[in-house]
This record gives sequence, structure tokens and C-alpha cells, in this order.
Amino acid sequence: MIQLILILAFGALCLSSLYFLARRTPRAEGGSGPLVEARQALQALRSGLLPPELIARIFARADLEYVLSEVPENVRPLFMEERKKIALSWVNQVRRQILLLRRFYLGSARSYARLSFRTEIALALDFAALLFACRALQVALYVRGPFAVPGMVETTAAVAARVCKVYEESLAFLSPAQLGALADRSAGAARL
Amino acid sequence: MLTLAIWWACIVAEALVVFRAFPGNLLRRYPFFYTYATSVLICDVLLFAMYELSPASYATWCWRAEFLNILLGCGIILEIFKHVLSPYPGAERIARFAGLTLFAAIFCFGVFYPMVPGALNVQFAIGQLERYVALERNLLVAQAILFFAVLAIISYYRTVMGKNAKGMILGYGIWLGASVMTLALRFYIGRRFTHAWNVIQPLAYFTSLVIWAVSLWSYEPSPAFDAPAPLEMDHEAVVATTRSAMEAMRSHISKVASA
Repeated sequence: MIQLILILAFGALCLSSLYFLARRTPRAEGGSGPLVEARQALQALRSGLLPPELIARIFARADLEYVLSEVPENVRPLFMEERKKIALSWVNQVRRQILLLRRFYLGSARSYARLSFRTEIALALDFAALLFACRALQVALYVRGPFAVPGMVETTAAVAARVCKVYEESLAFLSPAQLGALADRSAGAARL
Repeated sequence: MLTLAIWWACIVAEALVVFRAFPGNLLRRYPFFYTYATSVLICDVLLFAMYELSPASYATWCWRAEFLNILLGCGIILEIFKHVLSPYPGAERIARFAGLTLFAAIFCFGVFYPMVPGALNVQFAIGQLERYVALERNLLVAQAILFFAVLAIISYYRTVMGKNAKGMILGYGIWLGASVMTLALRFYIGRRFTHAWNVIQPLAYFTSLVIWAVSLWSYEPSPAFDAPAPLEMDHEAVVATTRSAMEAMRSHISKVASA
């Protein structure tokens, strides 16, 4: 019976993976596109999503204390709801940019002939762990609210900031002028 | 009657797939796939004639043809390597390594499992038909594991494929997945499932043939892979930086988990 269940589950997994494969858009990748996206993702993370003052603002406990003490009771749920939406949107954006960085990494890896199987497995697990941490943060924010997990927010932001720093050093050679030229080139290729 | 109708439809679809290969010179481009397609067409026509003229010998030859075509079906995985993975040396290397590892694991399992006391008792206790079903199921499961691993690598590295390759993968995957599931059910439920099995498996195969006929109507190769922009660092530097970032992350994540 266990054998049957395992084989049926495996068959179902094969068929469902074909469904996702069929849905995939046949987009020609490669070239400078992922490089430009990685650089833009880094910029978005560094200047738009991870500055400490922005994170402190979104998750400011002082705001909550002010609302609890000074604002009429009927306004409080509205405030909590709005703040939760902003927090969730922030984590979602961080996650998306990390996905773009992973895409850049994979774009580089798939063309490299001397790839190490062990390294690839380790990195795949690491990326999965970081993305899982973002998902866990989303769930925690959704369930417990934007002010219940301050430690988790700070840590995730610190981690993401460190990743950005490392990648930024890797992509430092790409000046804004080069970036513009590459972006134009990849847009032209996409139109073709 | 329904089974015969599906059988006829499959022969027509197989003939369509094979004859459409001539105008676009697809035979030369996908030799392994068309060896498989031609083999199943010839086998089906001969088996149909045998079924009508000499039903007694049909059963024996049916299983022989089945095993020959399972073997030739591995050619589709070779076509995937040749047309989808070869432009990406890194992804191809990982797929090759994964394929060899899985093959070695399955081979070792096949050699050492019968040595486990009592492992073959069930096999000897069942009839010949059940033994064929079990053997076909095991061969297809091994092939499906390899196929799924290659598919996972294609998806992970987001390699681009053309209409022809995509159709080959979808068609073969549908047939493989459906066959593995129905053979497992046939083996477990027994003869009561035979009627359903005789309809579901040929229907899945017919679906695959329709997908192949549409996707291989004309030659549409995988889009040319645009080589990566020149980086001032090589991939090893990317690996090193990514690893150090990940190590930092891991320590932070464990802190999060313990917080």
C-alpha cells in the first residue's frame, strides 16, 4: 500500500510539474537582462526598502503607543490594518528583490561549465532558507500584526542588507552609464 | 470496442507524427525521438495485425514491443540534453551528474534489493502477467525519476526551450506519469482494474501523440541563447560572494529562529 501511495504521489508530482512547465513563458533570457535586473534589485533594496529609518518608521512602536493613548478607539483597527498592509507589502518587495538576485546568480551559474554539484545544492538550500524566512515573516506579520515581531524584522532586514552589500561589491564595475546602456540593450532584445 | 477505436486513433496519430517529420527534415534533427516514434508506429501496426490474425501470440509480442519502446523512450531524455541543456554548460553538467547518480542508485537498488531476504517472495507468488506489469512499472518509475530530475534542473535554471522540445517533454511526461500511476494501480488492484487500465493508458498515450503532432508540425528550435554580458569577475567570484552572504544569512536566520 505504501509503495502504491508513493508511486501515485510521484506520478502526480510529475504531471503537476508538467503543468507548470507548460505555463512557463518562452522568454529568451541571458545577455545583460539579469545583470541589469540584479543591479536594479540591489538599488531598490539599498535605497528603497532597507534603510534603517524606513524600517524603523514602518514598525515604529511609538506610533502604536501614540495611537493607543491619543486616538479614538474606532480609529485604532484602521491604523493597525493599514500598518499591517504596509509591513506585508515591504516584506513582499524584499522577497521579490531577493528572487531577482537569485535569478542573476542562476543566470551566471547555468553557463559556467565547471559548476560544482555540492556548491549548487548548498546555495539552492541557502536561497530557499532565506526565501522561507521572508515567508515566515509574512505569516507572522499577518497573524500577529506589524508590532509583534520587531526582532524578526530587524534580523531579516540586517540579513538582506548584508546580502546587498556583498552583491553590490560584485556588481560595482557596472556604472550608472553602463547600466543605462545595458538596460536599453535588453529592452531592445525583449522587443525583438 | 472503445479500446480498438483508441488503438486506431493512436496508429493514425503516430503515422501523422512520423510523416510530418519529412517536410521539415526533423528526422535528422531529432534522431532519437523519431527512432522511438517510428518504432512505436511499426510495433502498433504489426501488433494490430497480430491481434486480428493470431491473438494467441499477441500477448507475448505485445510485452516485448512494450519493453523495446520503453528502452527507446530514453532517447527523448537524450534529445532534451541535446536541445535544451547543451547551450547551458553549467545546467547540463548538473543534469549529467544528477542523471548518473540516479542511474547508479537505481542500478544498485536493482542489484542489491533481491538479496534482501523475502524481497522476491511476492514476485514469485504472482502470475506472469502481474510480473510483466511489475517489471514495466519498475522500469517506468526509474525512467520517470530521471525525467523528473532533468525537468527540475530545467525549471531551476530557467533554461529556454523551443516549441519542439517543449512538446516532446510535455507529451512524454504525460504518458510517463499516467503510465506509472495506472500500472501501480493495476498491480495493486489486480484484474478488476484491467478494463480501466486498457482505456486510461491508451488515452494518455493518444493525448501525448496529439501534443507531439502539434508541437512537431514544423521545425522550431530553442531560441538562441544570448551569451552573458562580459563580467569583470568570473563565476567562481560570484559563488564565493554568494556563499559568504549565505553564511552570514544562515547565522542570522538561526538567531531569528531562536528569538
